[in-house]
Amino acid sequence: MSTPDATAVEPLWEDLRALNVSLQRTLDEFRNSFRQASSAGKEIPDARVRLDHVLKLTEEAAHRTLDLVERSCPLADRVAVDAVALIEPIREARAAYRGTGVEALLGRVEDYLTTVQRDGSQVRANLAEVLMAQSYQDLSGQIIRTVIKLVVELERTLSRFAELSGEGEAGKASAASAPASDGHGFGPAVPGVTTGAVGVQEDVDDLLARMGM
Amino acid sequence: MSSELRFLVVDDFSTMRRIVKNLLQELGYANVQEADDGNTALPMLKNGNFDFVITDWNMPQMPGLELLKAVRADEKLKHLPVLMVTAEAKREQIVEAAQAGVSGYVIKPFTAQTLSEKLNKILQARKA
Repeated sequence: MSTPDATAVEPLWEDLRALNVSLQRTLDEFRNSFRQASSAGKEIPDARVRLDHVLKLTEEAAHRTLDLVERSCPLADRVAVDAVALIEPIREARAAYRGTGVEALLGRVEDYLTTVQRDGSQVRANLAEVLMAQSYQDLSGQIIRTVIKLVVELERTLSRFAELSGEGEAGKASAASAPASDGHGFGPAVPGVTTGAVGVQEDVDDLLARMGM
Repeated sequence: MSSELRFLVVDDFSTMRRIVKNLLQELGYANVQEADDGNTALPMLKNGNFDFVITDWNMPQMPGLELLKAVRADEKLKHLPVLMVTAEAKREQIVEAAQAGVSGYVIKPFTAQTLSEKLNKILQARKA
């Protein structure tokens, strides 16, 4: 077997050199990309803190609203009940003063008390709606918690990349807690994200009815 | 008397516990206690004479479905009515809850009327 001369292997060396340059460039690009990702990774714990803060703020706001609703409901009840209690005596007084100048005034008082009773009841009903509307804090809070779990998982993944590439920065990120395990649920349905969810309470009732409930 | 019924409301969000508690009081049920997840609720149920449980599904530690299964597996508690009030709205979850023995299922957000209807339906069924 004859040994190839230098001229014959030269193209092979050229190819190997080109391959080496290309590989080096790819590795450099990967490191640069990873540095950018690591930089984003540093923002992640901050994002978690911000989201936790949003949860805290909405919870405080909802409780403040509930405080005021709970204090206002008895006031609305009392106004309506007191008005009703006064209507009959005023009516009797109006009858007693029939034909006098006081009758017209008592008639206006009676109308006013009827309005107070009706408006008081409406305010009470509105407060009940305000109470129910505070459930937004639970629903939005559950969605935010889901996002926090995703952020934690992203942080964990970046840390693993950091270890693999020899870059330590993202690896210094704080230890992530465990993601949601099966059985804990998916959280509230998010339009455009959640699939397989029922739409309204009637759908739940239909489904359970078909199961004999 | 219905107003003497003892309720346990289980939800990790204190606002939702408070809303449900208010609604129950509106319906005449003043005896309401709270727990923030299944792990807290289960010992309370075992040690107290509760008549009704209203629970969320998605909670840290022990979720509502596990609480439901634990209740149904307990000789003393197995007949306790459990109403699930949750944002979990996937069909397979509702089926899973039904198979685990849930007494009723209400999805959030709900109205006071819906809660009242489901509650009365369960209580009527128990009387029959």
